[in-house]
Amino acid sequence: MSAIAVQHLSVTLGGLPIIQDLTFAIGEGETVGLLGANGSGKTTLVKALLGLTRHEGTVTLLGTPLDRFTAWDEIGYVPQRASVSLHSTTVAEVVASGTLARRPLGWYGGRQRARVTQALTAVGLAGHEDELYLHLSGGQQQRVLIARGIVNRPRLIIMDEPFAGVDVASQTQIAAAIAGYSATLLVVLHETDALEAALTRTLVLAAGTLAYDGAPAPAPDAHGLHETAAPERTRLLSGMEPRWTS
Amino acid sequence: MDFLAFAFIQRALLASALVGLTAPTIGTYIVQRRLSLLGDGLGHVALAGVGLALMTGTTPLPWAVGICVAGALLIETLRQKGRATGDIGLAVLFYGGLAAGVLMASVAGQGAGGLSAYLFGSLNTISTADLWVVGGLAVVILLIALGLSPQLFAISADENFAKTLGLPVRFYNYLIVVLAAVTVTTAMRTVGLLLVSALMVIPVAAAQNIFRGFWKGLWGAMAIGLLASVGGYLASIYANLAPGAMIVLLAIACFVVSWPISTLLHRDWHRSRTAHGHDG
Repeated sequence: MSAIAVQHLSVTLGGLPIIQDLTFAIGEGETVGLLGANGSGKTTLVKALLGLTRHEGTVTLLGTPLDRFTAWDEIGYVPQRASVSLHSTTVAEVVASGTLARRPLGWYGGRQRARVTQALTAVGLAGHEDELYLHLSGGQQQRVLIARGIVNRPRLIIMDEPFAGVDVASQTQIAAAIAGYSATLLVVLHETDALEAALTRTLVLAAGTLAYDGAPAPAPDAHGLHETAAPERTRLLSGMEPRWTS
Repeated sequence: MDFLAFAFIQRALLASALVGLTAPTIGTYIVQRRLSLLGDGLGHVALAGVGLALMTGTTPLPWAVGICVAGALLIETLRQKGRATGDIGLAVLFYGGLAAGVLMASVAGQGAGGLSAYLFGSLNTISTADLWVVGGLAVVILLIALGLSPQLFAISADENFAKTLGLPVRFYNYLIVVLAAVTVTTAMRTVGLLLVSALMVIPVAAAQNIFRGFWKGLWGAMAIGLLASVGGYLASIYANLAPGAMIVLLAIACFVVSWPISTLLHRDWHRSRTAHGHDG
């Protein structure tokens, strides 16, 4: 069974095609890197896989079509950066929110607290539970978001540039912890980081299409990794979230 | 304390306590979502319901609740469709509600003066029937807002991540604005529609200065809201001043005092942060 199966996936924003007719599958246990230049559609693809943006075509997660998918506790998502409002929120509260899918009534018990501690230990932040999230450095905040994404020990982990701002020692520690979960991993990579060594396969996006699908570490220039995206695409990609500005 | 024997004062105290508890509870989610002035706008919309009640000669509270909830649903629908990015649509809705309220009050022959009890509150005139309605709505608001607090926290903090947890985010978003609308209307006889937003936001801001963490902040905001409401009302009796204004000014005093308290309480944290250093 594929962990992720995508057929004829297309995403259009503001009339511009951002993802165009993608078809690929990722098997269980694979560690797949998703690469591409800025504006190539990596984050949009991740959001489409998770149902966070409208798309055409079909997405199947862990054998179930996305529109009927309910096993969200099996999925771990780490965003590029938190599009969040987390002032006056402790590190433990942020990570504990990741366990909500397992608890219909939502209240925390000893089991959830143990999971939170385990996840924070995995990212090297044990002992920081009661600190305010916003008082942490950017790299530490990103590690908290990784802990939130892996707190359920999910079968499928989808990460969007998870190591932005994270020091190399912590990257290595987190990569080792994730490897210990035996989960399927799809990770968007922009810079070389500790996960790159663990990749079993690489997908490269260029202008919303699949330019490469194969062994890790393709030659970047051959697949347009360093091309600059058209300004209009970049504008749409950065402004795709509805915002309230009043 | 002989004045406590008067039934109208007992009713007013109970009503202010209920509003002092409910407004900051909903306010905690509203502030988390950076929609601090939502309550203010909903107060304007609720005035259309009051005007409608004056025009039809019926009880204002049900009309105000109905109109305010409808306005809240419209606002949230616009936000979810990404059409509330400009202020124009919201301004039309909010000031349209205010204008409609004033217009209908003048059609009813009461002019803008007929609305003042709802604009600025009228705690001492709360009837037993009003108190039952306010009490019932407050219990419902508290049960939902506290019982579903992990879910409401999750979607207020990070909507996209909450979707990947399988939470019905759209439903909870509507729930929060509906609860806010009901809270605004239950508060209109205590602090009034123009000042209700203060009671939804200021105790939350004060609690966030003092308490570390969302849930401690939630309980702290309720405690500060209760203190400001009951204390403000009692102070208004002693000083013979407007209760709604006293309640809000006491809440602001709590906020001002929360700054030095915050500095004292969190001094140890600043020290440990400097000692441990940061990456990133």
